[in-house]
Amino acid sequence: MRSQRDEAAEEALSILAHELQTPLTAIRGFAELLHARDDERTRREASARILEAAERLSAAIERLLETVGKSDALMLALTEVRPAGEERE
Amino acid sequence: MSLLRVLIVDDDEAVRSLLRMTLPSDDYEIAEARDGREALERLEADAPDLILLDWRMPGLGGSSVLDAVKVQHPRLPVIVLTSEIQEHHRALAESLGVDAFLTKPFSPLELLGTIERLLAERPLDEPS
Repeated sequence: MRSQRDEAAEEALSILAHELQTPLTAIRGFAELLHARDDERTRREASARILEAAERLSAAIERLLETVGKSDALMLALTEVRPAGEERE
Repeated sequence: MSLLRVLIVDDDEAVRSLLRMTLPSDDYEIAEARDGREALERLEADAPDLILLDWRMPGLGGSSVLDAVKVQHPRLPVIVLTSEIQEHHRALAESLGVDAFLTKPFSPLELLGTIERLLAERPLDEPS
C-alpha cells in the first residue's frame, strides 16, 4: 500500500513534469510544424510560439534549480546524476 | 464534404494553439475547452467527431471527463495527451476506454496520423 509520503512525492513529480513538459511540447511541436510546412502563417506563429515557450521553460528550470539548491537532500541526490551517455561506475 | 469536428480540451493556451495549428482548417472544425467542466458542456453543444484530452487539469480532470464521455458516447474517439509518466495513469485511461494515450512532448504529425486513423476506423453511425 502506498504511503501518504509516496503519494505526495508522486504529486510533486507530476507537477514538475507538467511544468517542464508543457513548454517543451510547444517547442518540439511548433518546430516540427515549422519544418514540415512552408507557409507564412506557420512561419510567423510557430516562431513566436517557440520563443515564448523557450522563455517559459527557461523560467521553470530556473525555479527548479533554485529549489534544488536550497535542499541538502536534493543536492545529495544530484551526486547520482551523470550526463547523458556517461557510464555509471 | 463536411468538416470533421474536433474538441480540444487543455488548460494551457500554448498547447491548444499547437493543436489548432496541427489540424488543417480545410479538413477540421475546432472547438476548445479550457477545463473539464467546459469540455462536458462543449460535448453536448458541438457534438464532436473526436476529442483531444489533457489529463492533468484544474477542477474536473481528464479521467473524469473521459469516464463521462465514454458513458454517454462509447464509440466517440478520445486521445489523451499527458505529461504523466507513471504507468498507472495509462492503465486507468485504458480501463476507461481511451482510444490513444500519448505522452508530452508528442509529435504533432504523428498525432495527426493517429487522428486520421481513428476517424477512418470509426463506425459510420457516429456521432452517437
